[in-house]
Parts: sequence; structure tokens; C-alpha cells
Amino acid sequence: MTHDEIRESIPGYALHALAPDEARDVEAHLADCVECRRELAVFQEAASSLAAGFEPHEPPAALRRRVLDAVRPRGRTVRPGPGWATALAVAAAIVVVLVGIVVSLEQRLTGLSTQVGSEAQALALLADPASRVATLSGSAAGSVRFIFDPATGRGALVATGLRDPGPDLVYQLWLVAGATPRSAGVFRPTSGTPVIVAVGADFPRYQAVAISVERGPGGAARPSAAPVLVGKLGGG
Amino acid sequence: MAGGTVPLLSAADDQALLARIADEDAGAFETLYARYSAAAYSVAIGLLRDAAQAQEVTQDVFLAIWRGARGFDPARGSARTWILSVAHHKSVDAVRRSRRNPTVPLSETMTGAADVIEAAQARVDAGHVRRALEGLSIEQRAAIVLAYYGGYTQQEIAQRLGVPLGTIKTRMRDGLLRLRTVLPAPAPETAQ
Repeated sequence: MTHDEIRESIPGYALHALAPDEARDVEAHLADCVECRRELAVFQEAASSLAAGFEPHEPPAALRRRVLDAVRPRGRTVRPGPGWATALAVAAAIVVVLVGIVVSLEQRLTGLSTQVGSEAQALALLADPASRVATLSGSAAGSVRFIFDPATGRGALVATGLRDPGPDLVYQLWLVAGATPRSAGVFRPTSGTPVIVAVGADFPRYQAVAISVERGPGGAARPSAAPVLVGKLGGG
Repeated sequence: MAGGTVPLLSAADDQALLARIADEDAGAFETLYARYSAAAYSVAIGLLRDAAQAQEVTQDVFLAIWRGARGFDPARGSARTWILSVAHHKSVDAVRRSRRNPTVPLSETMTGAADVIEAAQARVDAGHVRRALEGLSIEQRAAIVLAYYGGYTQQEIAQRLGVPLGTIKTRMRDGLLRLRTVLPAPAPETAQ
């Protein structure tokens, strides 16, 4: 279509009254034509002023929750796989309100400076008398502790002696509240030095931390296997 | 400055919010949602007449805003215009999807063009918009109302009214230009 033909269709485009193929032609032209873009701005503003004509309605509160949850890639609520009955049984004794924020570490654990930051956080937590320590136990060999400060929401997993989970596999850390484990990051053991995973969360809302073996590099959205290590977080 | 406790909301403020949303600031997105969700939802429910579908469309709209904030260009219009335009676009698309393969052809559900225009025009609730539309010629009003409130394409409108497509395009152009002089440019939301 020529510039003039496109230009004639701009009011219809602003009213969303074009067939899909016509709309695509207009869009392709708009990308290169300043004049048509300017004209579209005028018609779009006029068309949008018609929106005030619709009867006003308040969207339900549940929609807000859904929309906001959808844009937060972290702290996603997941449903556990069948192997999780054990971990949940560990947590079941403690009743805790279920809302929490997890700072997932998938993006954070990439690079030395982050590792140094995690170490500093772990050291600071160890030095803080308000910190608590949960020791994880289970089928995997190794010394794994979770240090956390319920007041500040800072925590760190410190793991030594864990075996390599195998090629293409990673350990994934989960925070467990009720029936909803949330990913708190993935890691692979390094021989000789402890692995430190910094975690920020509202810890009083969680009953347990657990570690499962998942496919790398990113881990799973929900646990796919029974946890190899579990530790209680709650005071009970 | 006096009135420091009153939130100062302006188009510039919306722009700043969108810039923060482009940097994936979820707090800024929450504020934008508080400001514009009712406006977007009202467009969706007005066109779709179904709360569940309207919610789905509204969710799509805000996800599109979240992903598209980086591409927002204030030179091409205000944030409000953009959000309402996305809301209208997605609602119209949903209306057309649900009209596809209707059990009764649309042309047989109404006795004539006048009924279709009447049905679309019935969706105009606000008095000032109604009056602004009454200021247009009958032909301009029919073209704009069928497109914006009815969700029909210009091709469908031309067929239904039995006039050439070029005529519909001209009526839309002239009608929108006239509306622009009588309808105020939408101000940024001041709710919350």
C-alpha cells in the first residue's frame, strides 16, 4: 500500500477497526514514517477519549493479585510432586501463615562478586547472636546448615562435603510453607570450599528448607523428586 | 511546597512510572495498576459484557504494559492513551474471537443497521461522551460508534451501512477530528 492509502486507514487503525492484515500493513509503514506516526498520535488520543464513555466498573481484588503475581518471576508458588510427602510431613507439625517472598538466586549466583557477597552475608549472620541455625539431614552425605535471621529476613545456606549430583544435575534449595515449596536457588557443590547460597525471605512464614536434585542448569519450577535433605525452620 | 501530602499525579509522573516499569520495578507496576486497572477493566467489560473474559483481557493488557514499557514513547501519546488503546485493542480482538463461528450469522441477529448502531450506542454511559457524539453528523457517529463501541471493522461497517469503504474511512477521520475539539484529552488518573 502507498503512503496515501495507509494514511487513509490511520483513523480506522486508531479505532482498531482494521482487519489483521491491514493492521500489519499500517504497522509496517508506521515504523518508517514520522508523519503517519504523528497523525496516529492525534487519532489515538481522540479514540481513547471515547473510553470514558463506558460505564465504570471496578475490577475484583483477586485480579490485582493475579496480575501482580504474573509479573514477579521470583517467589512463584508451585505445587509439590508426589515425592514430597516426606518433606511436608516434617513441616506439617507447625502451622504457619502462608505468604512469603523468596529471593531466588538463579540470577544472583553467577559470578565471583556475588559469591563474595554471599560469604559476607553468611559470616555476618554467623556473627549475629539473633541468627538461628537449622541443620539439614537426609539421605545425602555432607554438612549442610541454613543460617537465618527471622527479624531481617536474611539467610544463607552453607554446604560442605556434598557429592556432585551428576552431569546436568543441580541441587535446588526450597523453602516450604504448607504444601507450597518455593525455589530459593540452585547450586552445584565445589570441592574443597563450602558453597554459600544467600536467601532473602520472610522466614517465620516457612516451616522448612529442603534440597532436591533437579535438572540443570536452572532447576525445576516444582520439585520433581523427593528431597535429599530437609531442615526445620520454625521454632517448634 | 504546599500540599506535600497530596500525591502529585501528572502525565510526567506516569512517564516516570513507565520508565521504572521498563526496569522491571514491580512497585511502580503496582502503582500503575492501581491507577489504570479500573479504566482498562471498564473498557473490557463494556465491550465483552462478561466479567470473566474482561478479567482475562485486563490481565493481558497489564502484562503487555509490563513487557512493552521499554518501547513506550511519550512523544507518541500519554501513558493513559497508550493503556486505554491497548485495553480497547485487546477487548476488540476478544469480541471478534467470540463472534467467530457464531451459531446465528450476525446479519440475522439484528433486523437492520439501525439496531446494530443502537446496540453499540447503548454502551455509551457517560453523559459528556454521549453529548460529544451527538455533536457529530449521524453518518460520522454511526461509523465511530460501530467501530469503537461495537468492535466492528471498517469493512463490516461499510457493508452493513451499504456505503463504500472509502466513505467510512472519511467519516471516521472527520468524526474523530471533531471529537477531538469537543472531548477533553483524558487527564491522568488521580485515583490512588
